[in-house]
Amino acid sequence: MKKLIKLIWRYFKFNLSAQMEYRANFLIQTFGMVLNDVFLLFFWWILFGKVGMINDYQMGDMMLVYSVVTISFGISLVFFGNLLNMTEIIIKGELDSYLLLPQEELSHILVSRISLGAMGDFIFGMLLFFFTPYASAVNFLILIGVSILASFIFTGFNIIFQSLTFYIGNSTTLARVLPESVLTFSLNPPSIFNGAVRIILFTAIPSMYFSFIPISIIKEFNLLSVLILVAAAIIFMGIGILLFKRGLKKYESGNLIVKRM
Amino acid sequence: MKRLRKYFTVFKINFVNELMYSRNFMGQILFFGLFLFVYSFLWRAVFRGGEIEGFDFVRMMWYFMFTESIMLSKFVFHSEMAQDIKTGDIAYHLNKPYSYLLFMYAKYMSSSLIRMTMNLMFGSLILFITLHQTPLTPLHLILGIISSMAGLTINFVFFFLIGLSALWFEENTAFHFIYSKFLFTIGGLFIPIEFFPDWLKNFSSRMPFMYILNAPAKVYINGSSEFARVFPMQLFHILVWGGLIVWLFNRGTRRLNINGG
Repeated sequence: MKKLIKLIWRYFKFNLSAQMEYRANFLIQTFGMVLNDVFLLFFWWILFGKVGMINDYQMGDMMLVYSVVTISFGISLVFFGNLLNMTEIIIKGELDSYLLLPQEELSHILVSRISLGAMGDFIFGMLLFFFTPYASAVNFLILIGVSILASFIFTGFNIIFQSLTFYIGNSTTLARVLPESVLTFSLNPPSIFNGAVRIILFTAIPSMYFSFIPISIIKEFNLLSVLILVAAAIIFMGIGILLFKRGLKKYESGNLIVKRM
Repeated sequence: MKRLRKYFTVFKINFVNELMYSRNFMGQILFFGLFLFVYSFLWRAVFRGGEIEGFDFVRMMWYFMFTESIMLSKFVFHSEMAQDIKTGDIAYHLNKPYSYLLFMYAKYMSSSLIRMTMNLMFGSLILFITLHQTPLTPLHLILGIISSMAGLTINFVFFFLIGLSALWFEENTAFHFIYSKFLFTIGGLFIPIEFFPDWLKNFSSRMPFMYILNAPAKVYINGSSEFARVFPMQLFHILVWGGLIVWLFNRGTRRLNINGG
């Protein structure tokens, strides 16, 4: 575990310094994403300006939703920047270069890239929190805690569907649509979803754990909800790692010479 | 007319080509279905209280389907054009007996129209099945398609302008980013501009962006009265902005310097 944390930290520092070499590009990508998120909030600003309240949600609640989701998504893709590229790496036969190294493969693939857009999401979420009606020192600590757990749930969920490539061949469409679906559901007031959709959001598309439960914990701390979140993180990560390890046995080399820079 | 025949041939070839690879649309259709599904929950909760600015739940769902159909159908070519300019490959187009601008327009329209048709068919089918109601009549459909084509043409003009910017600026991704955010917000993608505060509504109605998404969607819903109001404005924007790109293109190609090859 200690070795893994060291690897994540070293790769983070290395990736960041590599990106900082092209400073203008770094700033454009990072702050471009901050701007992008601001534009997304525009929609809610107009809507709440017109209707005032949607079920039990107001603009301040929606800002908290955006804060939690963008921080969790940011943590996930800043540290595990290759998360959404795994299908492509497997299809192209580019895994070989990871298999030859002594480091455990899955963690190595995940950490070997950084997403600058996600860095922008992270910064946006952090700043936005202080404009919500829930901003306080204690809530900030809770926000960090639940966002880390939610990021593990998002990471585990994506490892599961990216690893399907080992079993069903090219699953690019699935691997592209599913993370998007988690985000689309998560960036809405939870109370608008009812019936069977709520069951889907607890299982196949885990928006409940990624957004709705973390938000409820910040609004009103509940130990049981924290435990549910921890359990969900362990289950999603566990299934993801298991599927990847089993799938790796089916992997056939692409006989491709890859230069990783 | 005879001089335009070659552009129609480009249109036809590209159209057949796109049809051959129609499997590529699968991901886009899935995204489209996902958005319709998620937003149906949101709009149901918003319109529980009745009508807002002439929209009820059914009209809002159709409005959203039409704007998304157009938004997702746009064939993005500005990066390809910028690449052609940077590498000098544009010379292969400029020395041929056709207008580069009309060549790109024929290519863009064939790809965009096929995508729009698929989106409209899929979206209408889903809404017919789930809502059992539609504001569409055969006349609304014909006028809506004409207005959408005008909207796509205005969009083409802006894409071409962004592509042309590569003659003066090395990197034009930021321009495309800003443009897409204008469409997203004051173009009325998710929310009709009728919902905006007065000052923003006035500003948006003076801009060309609402004539790409908002105006055609309202023609589909309201028919001839809306068409009579917005179509002349669409033509006005095509002429003004179209004139600008012709002038800039002629100026820009004089600046072009291509070395050997």
